[in-house]
Amino acid sequence: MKFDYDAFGKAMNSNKNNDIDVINSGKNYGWFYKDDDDSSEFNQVMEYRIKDGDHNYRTWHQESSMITHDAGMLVSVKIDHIRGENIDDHIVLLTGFDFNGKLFYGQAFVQMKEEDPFHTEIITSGDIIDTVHDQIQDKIKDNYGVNGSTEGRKQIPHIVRLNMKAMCDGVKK
Amino acid sequence: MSVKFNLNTFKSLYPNSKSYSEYLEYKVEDSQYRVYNPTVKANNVLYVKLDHIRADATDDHVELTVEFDTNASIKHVSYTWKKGNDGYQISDTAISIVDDSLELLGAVGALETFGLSEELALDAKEAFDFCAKAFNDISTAVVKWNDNGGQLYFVAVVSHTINRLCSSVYVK
Repeated sequence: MKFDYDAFGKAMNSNKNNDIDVINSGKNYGWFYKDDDDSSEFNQVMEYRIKDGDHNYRTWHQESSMITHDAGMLVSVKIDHIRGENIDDHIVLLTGFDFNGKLFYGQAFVQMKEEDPFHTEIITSGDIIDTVHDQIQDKIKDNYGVNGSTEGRKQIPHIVRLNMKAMCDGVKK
Repeated sequence: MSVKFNLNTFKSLYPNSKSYSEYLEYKVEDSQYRVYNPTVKANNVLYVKLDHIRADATDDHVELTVEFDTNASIKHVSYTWKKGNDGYQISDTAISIVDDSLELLGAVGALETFGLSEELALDAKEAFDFCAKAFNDISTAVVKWNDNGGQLYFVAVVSHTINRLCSSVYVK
């Protein structure tokens, strides 16, 4: 098993809702080096924005490790809601795939500056992606106040869902 | 028979890492981490230190103790977690698997069908359970520390480390 970053990128570029624009999507499906002077693998990120809105997000190159005896794979990622320098929101997501490449586990933690952090439960049954989405959605406020990036934060559940769906495409048997 | 640990295997499982004699370092998700070579603390018990590298005194430190049974199946994990700067510490906490709710790879039978014996399938299930439980238990505390996300992602690094330890032990 392996994580195919191109397959992830393709999925992000062609998401069925067609409601995000991947920045620089013409090259490497949008993966680029975050720092110009660092060409290491995990310096690669993908940035995208919600169409019809000025809300920007960043996905870092996912980390994966095989479960012993090649029984499956853990895949983790950090996603940023880009608000500016020290005030970005962070989502850290851990997922598990079985030996057939099927998602069987997911859990997300969410950090927002000046707001209480929150997280989903350990999700292992039902529609895992929808459940992670819904549990994040339940914690998103209606209004984060002046300069609170309310509209961008309201899209976080959807952004996590898009990422999880694309991660499923990225996991190859 | 006893459980042996293969350091070369372990180090090879960190993609894009720089290996030094006493540790490895790798950058992932916008942060830098250091994983020291695991040492054998007692029979079937491995001890490993990890740093989230920020700058000197502000580094976060984790110490993991992982115990295996004589079949090299993970049995127990305990950890200490020390935050940089103010030294806030989550101390001497054990991760316990107390119920069956995390039987996620779950259909152990399905793993047997895949070609794993019942014993190896259980071994994989337990490895996974500890990784997921560690992520849940530790993140719940660490999520309150808001830097660039690197302190929080450190928990995922620890989960991957538990997972990679499980893939680096064998019975001889």
